[in-house]
Amino acid sequence: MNTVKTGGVQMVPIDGRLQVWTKRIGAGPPTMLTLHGGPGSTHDTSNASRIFCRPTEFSSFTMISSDRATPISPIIQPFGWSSAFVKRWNRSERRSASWGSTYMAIPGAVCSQLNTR
Amino acid sequence: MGFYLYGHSWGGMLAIEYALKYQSHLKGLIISNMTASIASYVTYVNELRRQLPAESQRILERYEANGEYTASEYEKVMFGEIYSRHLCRLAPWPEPLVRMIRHMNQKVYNTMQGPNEFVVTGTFKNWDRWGDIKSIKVPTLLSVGRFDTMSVADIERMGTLIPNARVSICEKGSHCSMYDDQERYFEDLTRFIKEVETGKFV
Repeated sequence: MNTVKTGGVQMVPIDGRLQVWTKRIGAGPPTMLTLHGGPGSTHDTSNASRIFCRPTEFSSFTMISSDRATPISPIIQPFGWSSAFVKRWNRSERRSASWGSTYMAIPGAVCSQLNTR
Repeated sequence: MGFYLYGHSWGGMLAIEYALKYQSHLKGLIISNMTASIASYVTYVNELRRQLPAESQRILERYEANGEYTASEYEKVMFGEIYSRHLCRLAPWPEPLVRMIRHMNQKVYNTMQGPNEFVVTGTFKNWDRWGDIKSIKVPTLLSVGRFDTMSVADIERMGTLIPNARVSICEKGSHCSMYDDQERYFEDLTRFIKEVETGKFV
């Protein structure tokens, strides 16, 4: 990733169907992944002040967001990670899967693809 | 190795889910402004609603009956009497928060949450982890605002159930206490990380 060109933004593919917007600030460790509120909201609240914007107190953190995501398939609307959860939920509900497997999937996928672990 | 996972509100729900499944990957968990079940949230937010003047409550009921959630009179009560007290107490709201509301994906919100903040009929309505959070063993910071849409008593109860947890109460803050009680919020968050990093968190 060329952080100079992208300002730390990296699109992370999920399920081969969606791309989730991520922004990395600083260089770890320690690293922190921030998940914003909503559902259907944006990463903008993670813009708040000090530690989120000045990675001297933390070496790095990564925000993932629902607002700046783009679909890989042109059929799907510009959805973000909250939407990806909806899709997973709808699929897994039919399979009677647990909440856990539905909802942890995206933070997990983002962390492993960004080598945050 | 490991990382810190931070989740605000709905992100906090996800963070709890992640921790219940993969806490071995975590150095620490930060649950910001989120209780342990949707039922608890609904109970408390409706308690706050009942504290409104009777006329304001009638206005909400009137528009909700017709599903007119974007009616200006309805929004006037929501923003003027609920959100300005319990979502963010700064006036005016900071620009990123305004931007966030403007960019809100209503389709996602309606699917998962429901029509509004008081009525949760969406896909996560049955979410309840009160019985499970005791198994979260990683260092955990639970942050809540005194004027939050989440009950402070709930968050304190979570603090007693999660064995390695600390509760941070932002006395001036509401649901977005990272804005309206920034000093307390970030002081406690920073201290938490520093203590975990140096092995001093107890």
